[in-house]
Amino acid sequence: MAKETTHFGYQQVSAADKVHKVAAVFDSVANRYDLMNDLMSFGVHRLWKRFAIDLTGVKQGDRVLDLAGGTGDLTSRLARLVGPQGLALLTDINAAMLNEGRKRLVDEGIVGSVGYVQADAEQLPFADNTFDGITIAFGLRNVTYKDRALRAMHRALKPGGRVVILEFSHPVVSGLQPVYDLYSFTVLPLLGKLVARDAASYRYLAESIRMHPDQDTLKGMLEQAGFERCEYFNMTGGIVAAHRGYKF
Amino acid sequence: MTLSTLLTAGLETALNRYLRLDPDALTCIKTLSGKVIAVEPRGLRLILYFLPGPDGIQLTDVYTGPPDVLIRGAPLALFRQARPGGRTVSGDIEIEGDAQLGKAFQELLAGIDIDWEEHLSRLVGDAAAHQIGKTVGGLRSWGRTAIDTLLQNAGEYLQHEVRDLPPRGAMEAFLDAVDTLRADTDRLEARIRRFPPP
Repeated sequence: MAKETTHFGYQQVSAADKVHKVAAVFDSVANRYDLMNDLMSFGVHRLWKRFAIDLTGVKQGDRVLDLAGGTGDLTSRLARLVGPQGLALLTDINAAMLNEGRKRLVDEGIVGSVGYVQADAEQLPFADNTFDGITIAFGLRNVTYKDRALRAMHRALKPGGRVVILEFSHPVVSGLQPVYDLYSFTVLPLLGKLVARDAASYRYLAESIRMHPDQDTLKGMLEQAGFERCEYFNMTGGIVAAHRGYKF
Repeated sequence: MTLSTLLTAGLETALNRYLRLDPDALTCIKTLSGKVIAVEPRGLRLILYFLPGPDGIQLTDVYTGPPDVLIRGAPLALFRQARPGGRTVSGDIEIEGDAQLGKAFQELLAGIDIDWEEHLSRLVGDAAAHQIGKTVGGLRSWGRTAIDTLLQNAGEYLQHEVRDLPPRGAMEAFLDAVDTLRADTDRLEARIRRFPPP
């Protein structure tokens, strides 16, 4: 039987290889991840994340799952929103990233309403109808089978719950694409080389963004997974989009 | 991304930088952890939700649950109440929910006391910071005396000579009387409601 292949940036690799390659990327950049995010986006990623959190509608006492949460940017704000009676669960498939997140949140004094689970977004180890909200910020792009991950999120979400996906997308402002391409394929790898000592990982970042489904395709995938009232919000000219869907 | 996202992000950063200048204020914030304090400046179509925590205050204008306390008032009255040493005139501010929490939050903001000299000394050294502090303190004291004298003279002229404004005591007595009348009317209304319908 032919081996199932998928894309890793612009390369075609076997599905099993992609998991290892993505893991290697994040193992390599974990300790400089936050710094690189600030440098690459000029700090704007914090605003994108704030807006995504506003879309979740999370309140005190809620249980919320932050998938591929990495260094805990979203979880730290979600933990405050759910309060001491609620739970914000930080998950990541990558142990190095999860450890960075745990270290950071503990240093910030965010304990009690936070939990940590190393989990694969395609096979969530949670019971059906568990969470009031699920977020995944800049993580879906790296998942091998996005449709499986979306179905798993739908299963774990309570009826009435919302999923919010924050992800790089496709620019919608005319004239932005060439500038964005130039920035992605020359400045990003250079920054990666200088700061994280890893140009290849940041070249993969630029390539994986190009291979990620555009706004309407992802909206269709959400609907196919069972989500309703799906919509998306473009930010920074469509460089990033936040998708939201409900489970009823 | 909306304008309010930018506004709340900017306000949150500024507020937390300000709070970090007073270590006592940060300690006080921790005691309010887990609470949601809503502030609604009247006429702005905006509610700001303050979520205190161990490392500062998280601020948002989108919150779907009920807050622990809602503080509503004219923007100027809210600003006056929140600034260091702030006080407010009776009836300017409404508090719904946990009034004690609202008061603790107001006291926290009004009680911020920043030791500017200490922070300055890290940049320019103790001796220079002390000298700058003394000079600025002297100027501030002179300015405050000049403004107080001007306000007192203007007040006396308007209240006692041309009689365009009432004296402070008379105005406070009038406001107290209005508050008493409002409370009496509310009580009377409640009693009337208790009468059985004809």
